Amino acid sequence: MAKIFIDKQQYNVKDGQNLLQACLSLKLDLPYFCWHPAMGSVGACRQCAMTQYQDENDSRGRMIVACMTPVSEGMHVSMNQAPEKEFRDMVIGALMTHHPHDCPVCAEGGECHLQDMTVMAGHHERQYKGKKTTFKNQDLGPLVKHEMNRCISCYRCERFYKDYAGGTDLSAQASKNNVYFGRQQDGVLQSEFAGNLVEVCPTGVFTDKPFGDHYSRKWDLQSAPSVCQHCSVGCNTSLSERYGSVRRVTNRLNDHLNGYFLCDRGRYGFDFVNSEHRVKEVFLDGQASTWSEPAAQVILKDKSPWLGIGSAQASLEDNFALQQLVGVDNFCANLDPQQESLLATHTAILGQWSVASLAEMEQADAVLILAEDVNNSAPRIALSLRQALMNNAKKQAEKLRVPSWQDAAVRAILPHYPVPLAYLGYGESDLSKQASIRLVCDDKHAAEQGFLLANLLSDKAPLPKAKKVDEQTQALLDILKNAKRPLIVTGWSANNPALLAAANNLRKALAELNKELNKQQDQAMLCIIPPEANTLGLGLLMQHGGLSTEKIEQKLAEEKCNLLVLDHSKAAFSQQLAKLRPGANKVVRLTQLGPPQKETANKGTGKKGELCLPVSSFSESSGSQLNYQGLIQSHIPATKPSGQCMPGWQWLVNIAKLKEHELAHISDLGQLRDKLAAIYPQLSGHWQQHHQNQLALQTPRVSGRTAMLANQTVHEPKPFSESAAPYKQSMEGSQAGQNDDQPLAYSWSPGWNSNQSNHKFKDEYRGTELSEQQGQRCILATDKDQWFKWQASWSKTTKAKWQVLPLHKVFGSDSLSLHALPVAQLKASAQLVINASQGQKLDLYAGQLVCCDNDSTIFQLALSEQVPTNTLLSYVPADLSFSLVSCDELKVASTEQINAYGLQGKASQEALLNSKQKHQQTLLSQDQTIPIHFIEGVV
Amino acid sequence: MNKPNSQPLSTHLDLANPQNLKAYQSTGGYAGFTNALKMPPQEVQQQVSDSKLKGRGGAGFSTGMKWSFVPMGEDAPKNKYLVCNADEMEPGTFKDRWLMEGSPHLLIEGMMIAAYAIGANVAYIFLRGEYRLCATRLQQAIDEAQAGGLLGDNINGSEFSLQLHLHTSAGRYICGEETALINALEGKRANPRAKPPFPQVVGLFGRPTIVNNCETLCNLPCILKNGGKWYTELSSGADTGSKIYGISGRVKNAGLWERPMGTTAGEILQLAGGMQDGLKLLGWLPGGASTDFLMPEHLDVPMEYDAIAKAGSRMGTGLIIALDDRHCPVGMILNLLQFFAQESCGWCTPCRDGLPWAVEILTRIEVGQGSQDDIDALQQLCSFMWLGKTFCALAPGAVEPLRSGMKYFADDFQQHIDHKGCPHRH
Repeated sequence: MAKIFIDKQQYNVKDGQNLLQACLSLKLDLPYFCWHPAMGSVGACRQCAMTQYQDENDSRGRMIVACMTPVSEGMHVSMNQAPEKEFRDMVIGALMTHHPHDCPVCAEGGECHLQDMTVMAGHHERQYKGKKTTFKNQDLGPLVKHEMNRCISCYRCERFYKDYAGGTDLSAQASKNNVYFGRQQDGVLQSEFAGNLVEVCPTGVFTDKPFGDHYSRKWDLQSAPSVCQHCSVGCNTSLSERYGSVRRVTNRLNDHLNGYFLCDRGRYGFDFVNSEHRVKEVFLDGQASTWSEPAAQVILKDKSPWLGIGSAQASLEDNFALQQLVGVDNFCANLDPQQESLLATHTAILGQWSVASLAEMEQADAVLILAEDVNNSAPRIALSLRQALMNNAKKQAEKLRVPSWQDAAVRAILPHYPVPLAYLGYGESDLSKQASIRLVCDDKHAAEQGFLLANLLSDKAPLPKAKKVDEQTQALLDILKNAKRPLIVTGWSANNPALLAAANNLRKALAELNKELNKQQDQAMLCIIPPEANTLGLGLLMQHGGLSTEKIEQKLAEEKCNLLVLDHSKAAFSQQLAKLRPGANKVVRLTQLGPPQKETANKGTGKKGELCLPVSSFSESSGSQLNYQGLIQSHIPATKPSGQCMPGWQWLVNIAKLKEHELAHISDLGQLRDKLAAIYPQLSGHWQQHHQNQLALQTPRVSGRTAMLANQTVHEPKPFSESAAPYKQSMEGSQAGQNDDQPLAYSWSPGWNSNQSNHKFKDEYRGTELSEQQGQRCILATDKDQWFKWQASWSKTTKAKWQVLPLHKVFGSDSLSLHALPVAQLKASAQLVINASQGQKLDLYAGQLVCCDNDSTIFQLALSEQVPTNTLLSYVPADLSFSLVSCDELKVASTEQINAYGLQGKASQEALLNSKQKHQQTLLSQDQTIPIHFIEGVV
Repeated sequence: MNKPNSQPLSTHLDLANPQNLKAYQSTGGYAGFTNALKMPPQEVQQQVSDSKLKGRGGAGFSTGMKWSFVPMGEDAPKNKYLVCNADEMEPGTFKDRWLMEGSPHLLIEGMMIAAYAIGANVAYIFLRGEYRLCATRLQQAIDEAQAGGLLGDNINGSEFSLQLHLHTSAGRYICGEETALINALEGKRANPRAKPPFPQVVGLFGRPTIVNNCETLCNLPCILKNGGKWYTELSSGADTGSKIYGISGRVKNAGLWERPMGTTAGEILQLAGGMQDGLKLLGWLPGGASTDFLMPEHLDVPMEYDAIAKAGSRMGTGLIIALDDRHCPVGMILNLLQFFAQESCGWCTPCRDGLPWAVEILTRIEVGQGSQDDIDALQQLCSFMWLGKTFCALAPGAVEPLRSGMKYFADDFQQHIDHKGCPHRH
């Protein structure tokens, strides 16, 4: 700690930070623009000027900028004397020489950092009499809107996009008061983190385009603390609603997970909740029906045994309720055999090792990735790994007496002090490009090398069948031995449990090594990335046993059974259900998203007895999920369920009532959670946290509350909330940020209307040391000392000419976000990647349309050196299904196929645009006349 | 050999037909470098410290001191760089061009000495893009030196190796700022970098780097040839050595002269033959556009760093711009400020938005639409862009002619406002 004097007042602040951080941590209002808590200082805007004095007797002092000045013991500074105040006022005055006065029509208005800082700095009268500089705006694609005239040249956008996130297509161009932040020409921003520009920009240059199309002021939004549904990281988000539709997702600060940034799949994928594909009514054999319809009751009361199929897209509570209702032995996690093995391995590993948070991973000093395409399976983790690569340069900077927050200086020496990053695996990504050690191989080979490396580190580690150690692996040995905080990353994307086993063995070998060397702490880290938001929720439930997918088919064949299904929106799942359906007696589906035409999939088969119950989405009901660490996180609804939708667990309780099952006694979510906590006591702490006083989801400034429905009724309706829930969808209750133990519904503090208000809700900025991650990890340590042995089945190879390995894309591999129109517009079409040299030999070229054997899926071909030979990397969007794991013949598409492909592509683009327009109109008309159901009580 | 030479910089100078390697060597060229190579690098640094040579780029920082911050010895990073700042873009300054066009080998020799002294193996000449003739002649000289074994590996059989590259700038005034120059040389935007870290420690490509002005480097051969002490005896004033002085404006014979440090502006004006007939000297900028105005009564002040500073300006590059009584001072200041506003890199707020603001006000005053408030606003802007408030020295430099002009030519400003127009145009 350092003792410093600000305006003659004494404060104690943390060493190592800069004066701006110190002032903000003390909750003093010092305006700034170019500084960002995650991106360090560059000293461009000069807004945070203060005066520094030599000692207490010095009355003149000299002007400094706080963000570039390290705090030092006994320093004397002032913040509120005339010289610095006048200077700060003048800085705003200068910035305003060409900022337009368009606040009333600017989408940033009301949450604009520039507005806040202008008020704070005191500038209120325009002195500049000249003309303003004007710019042309660019079309940057469906996610981000560009309005360059508002730019105040703080350089944050460029620094985030290029330096922090590694994007290449946005930069500062031109000079003087004509600096232009944009692309070389119009076009879609290529980075999957482009959406963060919206929050990084202190004013309205980059704004959220879909939000702008259906806009509301921040103060009118009803916002709920939520958790992202589009991968396993579980980024914390704030989900905002107005007039019954969900409008946007913004980042909700979580120091250990997402920090200040989200990926675009998370930011824009939420829109599936507004999709026209949402099922909002009860359907019986394809016909709109009701719960109480006698035919529906007949199905529900059927006495045959019920088998349950869970879903990684449903909440822990929903899956648990289903498991309770059908019985543990009749509950299936809806995974293929390979995935079942992955899940078992994964939970076994989590029973031994805790998995690192993103903030912890950012401290790594050596990273080994085993055949996991982190950039596409968990983009936010990839962004953190990128930051870890700067650690050695930061250390070196401090040796040169340059603070590590001085971003430009650290980046200047970065090339000479890289953190070693090894990528053993296939495919090209930002991380594979950053890798200093690169082995192009398939997943099996990567796993073998992982096993071998573990054995080199510790001779207790079991060996695989293969014995040849690659030179890349050998090179890693010293790196891992010398690293203080080595990190091993792998995951499910190659669909191979051997990789998880290898990662486990490496982690254990590092621990053994640590023991041998008597190091003080074992700081090695492990990260395993599962595919979906709640995959590990299923893992928790399946620890008590269950039914495998193979067994379901067997059981259906053996006896007359019914299926009770939590739907999954992936095409592969519909296909699997179609396979099971003929053998099942009755089918009841709890569905969020269905086919757009109101028909069931079994239309035409003549089979009767399928009931479809509409399930409310994560934006409409509370629920919990387990992230990649097994950390439980809960979300609160921002709006009320639409149509006849109900939470999955509520439907299941209602079904239980018909069956007189004990689940019938549950009357609210709290009781269900108590029941869960009774079986999993580790959860009880988490629930309690959410049972205290109620959180208001509306801002104190929300307007038009009584006028909203005045054209339909003059009575103000009772605000919606789930029974016994810890929040209120109104402005009553505790305001965001008032209580430390409540999640922040939205970030706002007096004078700080933008998300920069975050600093008002935390004590200090992430420094060299990191406070421990809060929250409850649910998959508990059981067995500390397990090595995984190499299994014979892992050595299997295909005899076919080509082995097919899975590839993933940020925009395409997640089925929920494909129902969000902005993401659907960016969906990558099916792609096959082959080794470039091999492709040339075969006379194949990039962009060619091809297909495999007799499969009908048409792929675009891509060539890359980062593919092993005789290997096809196949990516298919989640709305297509493709299951080949090997292929004998790679066929060039016929002319008819090419034509059909072209037509189909065009048609789907048109359909997308049409549905976007239609969607827009629906939402806008809904704003005019809010459906009356919105004001009725809960069903 | 050791005979004092009062004009060591221009001895070899031939603008029409510069000396080739042979001619340069036969007239004593590369003797300084040969001497240097016989000494350990520390001793070369010592000679330069002893010479009390100050940087000729404008700031006047001690060259020996600057070099002393470069990490030396076994632990120092393997790659170090020397950069010659030949991005001469200061309005009214044209001395480096003269040296490079007339005596390219002098610069190369100076760079070889400097590189040897700091242990750099790669050196760059960052040349102003418009200096086409310089580029041709320098490249010829580099090729000659390379062919003659003076550049490349193991020079003269020693362990010293040097690669020398000529880089022609894409053209921005800010590239004359050493850290912006480094960014530009790396292929990045030419924005200045924050200090610390200083380039001596973290410079080009993150490695220790010395950036010296062209004229500074040209002083090294004679220092190493004749010794640091000899150099100090070249001048009698407070600053040591020889200097290229010059003058432009409506004088009879604008040009450049090598004279000992401490020559007065009056002497330089005399060398130029005085003001053109019928014109009187109204004021002068001592060393380029980014220095404060001085008045005719200051003509006796020696052109030395401290003496000029005491008179209220900066020595800068030592090339005088003379303002005569038929030119409008407001118009001149506007012209200069337009240049600086145009050349701001756009990084920090006071410079990027303050300079165009000052230009806007000055333009209105010049065309007769100014008001009394504008004078106050200009004063405020001068303080807004002053030292310590901006990221680099560009804006404070730009403010110098403005704030001093407003002091010395207050009447002219007032007349513009009172008579709603420029008195010099009527």
